[in-house]
Amino acid sequence: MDTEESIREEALGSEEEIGSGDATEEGEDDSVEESSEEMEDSSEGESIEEEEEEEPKLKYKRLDAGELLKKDAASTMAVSDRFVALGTHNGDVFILDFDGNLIKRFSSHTASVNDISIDTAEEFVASASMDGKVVIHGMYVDSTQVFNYRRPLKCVALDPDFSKKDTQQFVSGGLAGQLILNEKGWFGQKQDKVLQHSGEGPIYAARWRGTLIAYANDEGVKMYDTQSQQRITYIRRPQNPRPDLYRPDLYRCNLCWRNDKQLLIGWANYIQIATVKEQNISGHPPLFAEVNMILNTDDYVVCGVAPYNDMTLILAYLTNHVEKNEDSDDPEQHKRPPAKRPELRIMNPSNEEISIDALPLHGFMHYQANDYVLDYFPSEDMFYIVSPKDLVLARPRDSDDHVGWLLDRYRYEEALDSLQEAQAWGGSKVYNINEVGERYLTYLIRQEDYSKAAENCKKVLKTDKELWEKWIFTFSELKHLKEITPHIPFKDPQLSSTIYEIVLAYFLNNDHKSLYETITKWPSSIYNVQSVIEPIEDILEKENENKTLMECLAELYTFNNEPEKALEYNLRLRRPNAFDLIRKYNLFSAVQDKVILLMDFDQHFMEETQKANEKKKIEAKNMPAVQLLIENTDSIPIGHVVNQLQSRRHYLHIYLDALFIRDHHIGFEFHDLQVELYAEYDYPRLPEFLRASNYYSLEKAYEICKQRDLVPEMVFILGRMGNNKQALMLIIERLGDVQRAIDFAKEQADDDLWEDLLTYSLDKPRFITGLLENLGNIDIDPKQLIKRIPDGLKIVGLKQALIKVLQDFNLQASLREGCQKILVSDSVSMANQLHRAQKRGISCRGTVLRLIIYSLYNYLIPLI
Amino acid sequence: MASILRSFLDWLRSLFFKTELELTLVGLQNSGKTTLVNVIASGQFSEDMIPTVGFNMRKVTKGSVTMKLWDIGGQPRFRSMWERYCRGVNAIVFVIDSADHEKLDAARTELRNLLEKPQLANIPVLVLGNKNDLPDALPVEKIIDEMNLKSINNREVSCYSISAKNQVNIDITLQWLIKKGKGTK
Repeated sequence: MDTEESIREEALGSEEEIGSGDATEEGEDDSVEESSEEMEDSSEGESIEEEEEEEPKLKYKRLDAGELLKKDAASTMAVSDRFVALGTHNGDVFILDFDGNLIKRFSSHTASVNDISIDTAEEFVASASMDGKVVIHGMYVDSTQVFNYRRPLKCVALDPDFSKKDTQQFVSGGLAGQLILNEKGWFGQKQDKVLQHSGEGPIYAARWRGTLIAYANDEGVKMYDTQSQQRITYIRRPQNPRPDLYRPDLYRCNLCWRNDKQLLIGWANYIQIATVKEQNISGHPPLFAEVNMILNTDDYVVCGVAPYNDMTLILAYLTNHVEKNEDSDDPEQHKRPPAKRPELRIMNPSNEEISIDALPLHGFMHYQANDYVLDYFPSEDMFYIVSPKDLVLARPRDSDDHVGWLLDRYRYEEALDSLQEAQAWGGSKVYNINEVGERYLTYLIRQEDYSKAAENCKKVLKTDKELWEKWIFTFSELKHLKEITPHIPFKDPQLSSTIYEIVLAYFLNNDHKSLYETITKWPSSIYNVQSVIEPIEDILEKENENKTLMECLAELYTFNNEPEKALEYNLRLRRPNAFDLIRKYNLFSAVQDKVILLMDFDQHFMEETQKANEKKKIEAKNMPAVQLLIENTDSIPIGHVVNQLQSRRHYLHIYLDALFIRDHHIGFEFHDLQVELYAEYDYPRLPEFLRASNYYSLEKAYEICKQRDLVPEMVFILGRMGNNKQALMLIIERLGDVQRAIDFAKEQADDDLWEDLLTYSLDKPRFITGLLENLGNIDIDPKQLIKRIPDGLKIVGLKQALIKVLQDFNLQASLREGCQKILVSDSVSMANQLHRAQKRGISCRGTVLRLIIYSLYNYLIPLI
Repeated sequence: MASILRSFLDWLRSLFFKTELELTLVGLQNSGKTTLVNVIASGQFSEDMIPTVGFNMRKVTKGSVTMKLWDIGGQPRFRSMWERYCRGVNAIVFVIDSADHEKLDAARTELRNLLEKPQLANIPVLVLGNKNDLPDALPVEKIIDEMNLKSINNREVSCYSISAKNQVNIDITLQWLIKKGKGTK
């Protein structure tokens, strides 16, 4: 006892000595908030050393009990559902609310208060003191009961139902070594009952839960059952390898009921968990306790235990004197090194420490393990830690703290997620999710991570129109509209049209490609299309061939229900969908003035296709524009098209050609023109056209052909004109083609023509040969021809030709002879057949016979 | 011998009639909570009170009913504690200074905040418009309107206009509170 006293005095003394230094050190923390922050920071600092960036499990708040503890020092503490009772070395008991406000003050002791107990109804507060007294104060009524046991007391425990029962039981114990149960007897008088007789050392602690009283003395922890009125368990102190170090009287025994059945024992260097079980063996008490776990703590001394969910909270006092003691023979004389900060450790059910927070309590370096007390608020996870000059509240960090912690580390996304989750429970009271979101965006923008900021806009701004507008303006000012544009909503919420127009204007000046993308993405209803079109038109005037802008305009005009204008740009852009557009909107009247554009488009399209597919021959007349024109001659008059195409003759040709193929008669008025066009662009098909069409003027066509010296066509036209002779002349003179001349003459079947042919052929041996060779097929008298051959004319291959003529004739003669023979023999055989048939008898019977007879009869009767 | 008999009778009576109820009084500062508690406890009105720091605890016995009263400080710094002290009580008494029109807004907000707490669901609330002896005190209908009491539909809510000073309507307030105690036991 003396030792303990001296230790405390020393601690207190040193506290007073450095009191002023302490004040200057932490003099700034006037407000509770500030100091608690400071505490949090330093405790985090500690944990960071051990584990990188792990969020603390608990948060701390220093309660403003400083005034009370300025002149006095706290010695013990008890926490109930609604208040905190603080005992001091001066012998006072302060009743505080949860924020440390003083509610009541009881000054009944003359020495340190060693233990305080509060009943569950919170009507009575009992305190036990070194002065040997137990004092029970009524919280509601001014009643004070004093029990003097004369020897210093270490512990007191009220019956949890103290206020409800008339027996008003409580136990107390101390250096006398007895645990005494005091109760009100039948006649109202108080009487003591000794539950534990002296002889096993002082009683260090007692805790009453339900019917069970757990208490500790030198031997260990024992349990008394008030129901069966007997001691049920004796939990021995574990073997201590260093009895000099962990003397039970130097280190307070901490008892704490986790629930009605489980007791936590934290004493010096070990922690035990004991569970109360029922048993049914006669001669034994009905209950017994079983130790489930023993944990030796090597590096610290337990100065408080408390349950935290299924985990255990330990107030740890770090022992750094172990080595020192080994060096020194007399540790008590040795100057104690300054103590470390006490630590609050959380241990999970498998005895792993999952969190360690060092608590920078005022003057920690001067304190001993017994100077700290941990108690907890049973119905909520609130833990109070008291040191002689400090009262600190530890609480599990709630989601708001979590968010705050994340925000401090710029982990906005996680913070937002957890706020989002909290939304389901009614939302955070401290943090506004939108505000945090905006902070996030501001942060990202400050980091110049614009695209990420833009990505997060949707998550953060949700459907808040005003926020969206505000942020789009922000992006706009920063000239980073490009990033946010894909995320700008166009419905839910739909922003004001100005916003959309601003964005479009921005792109118009900076990024045409994005402008087009945006225009195609956004519905046109959200902005004023006309006001967007105008500036684009202005710019397009300057940059005439800006395709992207044209694309934009094409889209915009379509949106604005001006298909004609849209079509114009579509055609200029050579977009295939232009034709769909025309058909869809019946825009034939609109295109009728844009034929050249259409044709240009075709040309382009054809080249493209040709490029893509080189093998395939693509004909211009099958191209969509031409097809469109010729299919819709009703809406697009042919004359109109032709007029426009006058300057582009090739297009004109393509058009008219296609038209002609579609219908030979439809474009008859332009057939004259076409002759010329065919001659120019598609000569091989000219004859076909000339033959097929009946509408062109022969003279004109002849002129055209003549100009171009297109002899075969001239021949054809002359033939059509009836000017056979001239035609033949042309063939003979220009073409020199015997066969053709013969064919021509044959075709015309005109004797005069033959005559002319003969006449013209006479001075041309090649012709004569040709004629001779063909004599067999044409009806010219060979003799006449041969006779007219001038003498001395050299005819190449004459012999051959003559032989051929003769052979032809021989052949013809023998053919005719053969024919005659066949004819004669046929006549003979037919005559024989007739004769045979006439001579043949006929068998007649039945009706045929009767018919014959009847006919004969009829025939003969008139003769007769 | 007489004491034995008396304690025996007390015990008997306690078996049959004794009800105990726990109440928490909250409300903005200077609305008269502590005064009201004093009036209920002692029947005496005392004018000058120092503001409550933290809370006061009082136990009042009226006939067979024992009321434990938690009178919590109304200054802003204590308001965060209200919820904790209201948990598990039989009824919450919310006291308003019905003559202080400027504070009604704050009172309404505080009441709403308090009743939003999930831990306090279903606890009946008695709103008392105190100081109706003052000339411009609001009548009870006005208080109900101003405090938007009709919108509270998940619990029992009553409202009385009282005067702790003149002891007006204190009797019906007590009756209401005692009924709560009987209802639960």
